[in-house]
Amino acid sequence: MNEERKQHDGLDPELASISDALDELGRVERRAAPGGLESRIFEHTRPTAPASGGVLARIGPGWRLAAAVGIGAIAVAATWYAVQRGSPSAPGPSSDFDMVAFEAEFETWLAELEEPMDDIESVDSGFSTVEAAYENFWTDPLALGEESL
Amino acid sequence: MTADIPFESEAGGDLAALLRLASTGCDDAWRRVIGLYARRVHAMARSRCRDDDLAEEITQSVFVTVSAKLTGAGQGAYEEQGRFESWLFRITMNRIRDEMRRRKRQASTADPSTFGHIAAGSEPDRAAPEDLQALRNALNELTESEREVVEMRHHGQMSFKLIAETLKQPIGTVLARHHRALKRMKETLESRRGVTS
Repeated sequence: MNEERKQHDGLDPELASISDALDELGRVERRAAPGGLESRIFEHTRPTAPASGGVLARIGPGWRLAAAVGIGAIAVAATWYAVQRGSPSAPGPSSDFDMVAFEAEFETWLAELEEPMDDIESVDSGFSTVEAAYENFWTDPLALGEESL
Repeated sequence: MTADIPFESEAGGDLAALLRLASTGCDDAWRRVIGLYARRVHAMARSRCRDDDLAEEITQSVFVTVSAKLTGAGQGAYEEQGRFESWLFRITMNRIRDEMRRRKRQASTADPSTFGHIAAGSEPDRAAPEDLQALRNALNELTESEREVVEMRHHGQMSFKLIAETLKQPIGTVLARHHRALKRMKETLESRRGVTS
């Protein structure tokens, strides 16, 4: 800036003095800005600044859900397409063998589950007891009498 | 002549880093960008419209645009890497021109005295010294293009190179326009001095 100001040297002295006076006017105008200008501008422009995290942070939950649904649909379609294309040409023996192994594994898994299944049955019978008590309450004449009062 | 706010060259390489930070949502960086330019933008707007509220409105609108485009939230996001200042001041000049056009349109359909007041340029600033007021009046006598160069240079503290970039004009044209403007202002001031004496 100072170097540029040396261009005044080439100016007619009267023009240079006008240029200096304009610099002064400019300074007066800048200082005349109302107090708190920067803070007000900051507050007004802040919402449009991005939240930290960049583009991803600006994507709303609706768009994220839509993206997830879209990706899921593409995955399902791709799987279906692969199965459709793959089934006629898939070699039999190796896939049969895999199926047998899978069935054996499944049986083992079911056997391991037997005990927890017993637990589930006991919980189920507990529910039946509560249900019976509930029904008894509503058929109890004393309870119904209170209701009618 | 002292500069209270740095020129583009003095903001230097830091400016690019500052803008990068501001574009990622760093509040401190954005606050510094505002600190560097808000008063310069405001002074340019105030010089033209002589209305603090309107000048602030224009300044705010410039920074809303800059913020949106800097962060890529708006259309035509900021891509002019390394030319931030000319881009910012171009937005400023466009806003000021739009506002002045709007005011002239409103004035022409309203009370003719309002138009006269705007054409005369300004509401006198009673706090300002007489010679500054005389300078303001002389500024009002310039053509639109001369006035823009003078305000960019002296109110916006822009280098001639930056003014040339902002206006998309050769630097020689800008220098000639500035020189012509000073000459015209000198003549105006002399003629008024002659009238008053």
